[in-house]
Amino acid sequence: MVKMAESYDVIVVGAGPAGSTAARFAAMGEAKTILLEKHPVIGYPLCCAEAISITGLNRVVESDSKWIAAKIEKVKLFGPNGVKAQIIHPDAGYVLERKIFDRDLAELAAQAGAEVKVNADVRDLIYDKQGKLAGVRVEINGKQAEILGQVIIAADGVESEVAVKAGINSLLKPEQMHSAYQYLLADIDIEPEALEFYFGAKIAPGGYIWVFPKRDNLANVGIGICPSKSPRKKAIGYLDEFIATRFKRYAILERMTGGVPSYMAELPLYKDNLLLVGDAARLIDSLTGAGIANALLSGKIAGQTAAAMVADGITGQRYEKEFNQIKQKELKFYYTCREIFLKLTDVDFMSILKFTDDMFGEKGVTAINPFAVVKKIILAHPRLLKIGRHLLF
Amino acid sequence: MATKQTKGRFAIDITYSLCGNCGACVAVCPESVLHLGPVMLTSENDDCTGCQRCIIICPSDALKLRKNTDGENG
Repeated sequence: MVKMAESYDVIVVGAGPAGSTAARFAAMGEAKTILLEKHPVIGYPLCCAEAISITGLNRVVESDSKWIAAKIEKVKLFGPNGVKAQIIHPDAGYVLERKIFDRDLAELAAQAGAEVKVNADVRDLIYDKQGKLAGVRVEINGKQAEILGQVIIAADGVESEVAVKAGINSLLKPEQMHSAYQYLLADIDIEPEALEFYFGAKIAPGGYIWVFPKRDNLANVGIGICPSKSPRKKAIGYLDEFIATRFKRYAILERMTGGVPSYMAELPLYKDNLLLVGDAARLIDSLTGAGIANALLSGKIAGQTAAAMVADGITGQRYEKEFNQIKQKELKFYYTCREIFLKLTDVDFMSILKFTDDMFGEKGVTAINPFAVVKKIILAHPRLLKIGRHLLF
Repeated sequence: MATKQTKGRFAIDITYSLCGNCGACVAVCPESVLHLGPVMLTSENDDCTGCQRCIIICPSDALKLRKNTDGENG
């Protein structure tokens, strides 16, 4: 039997960084808010390399030292044939401990007044007689329930099922995603403050391999590939080959898979009283696959907007406008970079890395303007200019 | 696979020991066949057309296409 529907101002579907932040800010704006997480444990299963820039984190939430596994001060880039580059950047970012981070963000939402339910799997949307989105059908601990809400925030991650059910085409083609696999490796020889990236057609077609340290001898080691560039070999095959050559000894503590969506410029961030945030809205930096900072920022603005929609009767357009004002140019730029990146040959990678190493050298930088760096690289490479001219200038 | 894409002709078999519960397959399925529930990935309906997008994106070979011999289109 279906229980009598409970009623809220704001329903948030998904308790990742985007959803928990949205629920927190909606509750802080006096909206009666419920946060629904389908998994029984918040922060698990984890599908993330856990890196974030310092500004990306601090812009939205006051950071807590227990969220931070490692502070990154250096980036090392490796190309084919032993070509490498290094960027020394003392404030490059953090590698997080997402299991603690995600749970704490949900706790912050609860402390702000949001109700939280785990093991709560949203299965369908409810529409009223006028055809307006009015709530969700959810299975909580295996029991059917209906929850009504004035505003619904879809923070259901890469699957983005809420958007699809609401008629928003967030469906991705395989070529619009990276297929990713990652190990948490212990007992490995690494520099604990340096990120490592490895590029090349034989290393990671259409993507890269990363080594993101979490402390001495412990790191997330993963790969993202463009599956259309590797029809016969899966991501895990390349990763296993890499690990066998990079590390003399290692122990695998965790293994995880992931699909990393590419930014979809044409995807709306709201439809009537439904707001899309984080991975569900495809708010990913397409070049690196980074998504946590965008998840946090979109969650914050969506939560604030949802509260104002309930209190003042404004529309979801405020969220889309505010988010795009801050992020759209950057997301489009990284999307363009990805389009160019997918066309690079091993010779291009070698040349770009050499150029990058000459540009940064041994001196440290305090901030990097990615627009300026990419422009310099492209202008110095006539072939890239040919590939990227119509996209960039 | 050169087959006519008709709903119900195919089904997806999931190897749970390989599945990482990442949801990449759900994000690319045009027929909403797959759903990532609280514990595991499930096949929700008989609408699979055999497009294989889920199989292409899966990072770990956890999905296989099976010809559906039970359905009326089989």
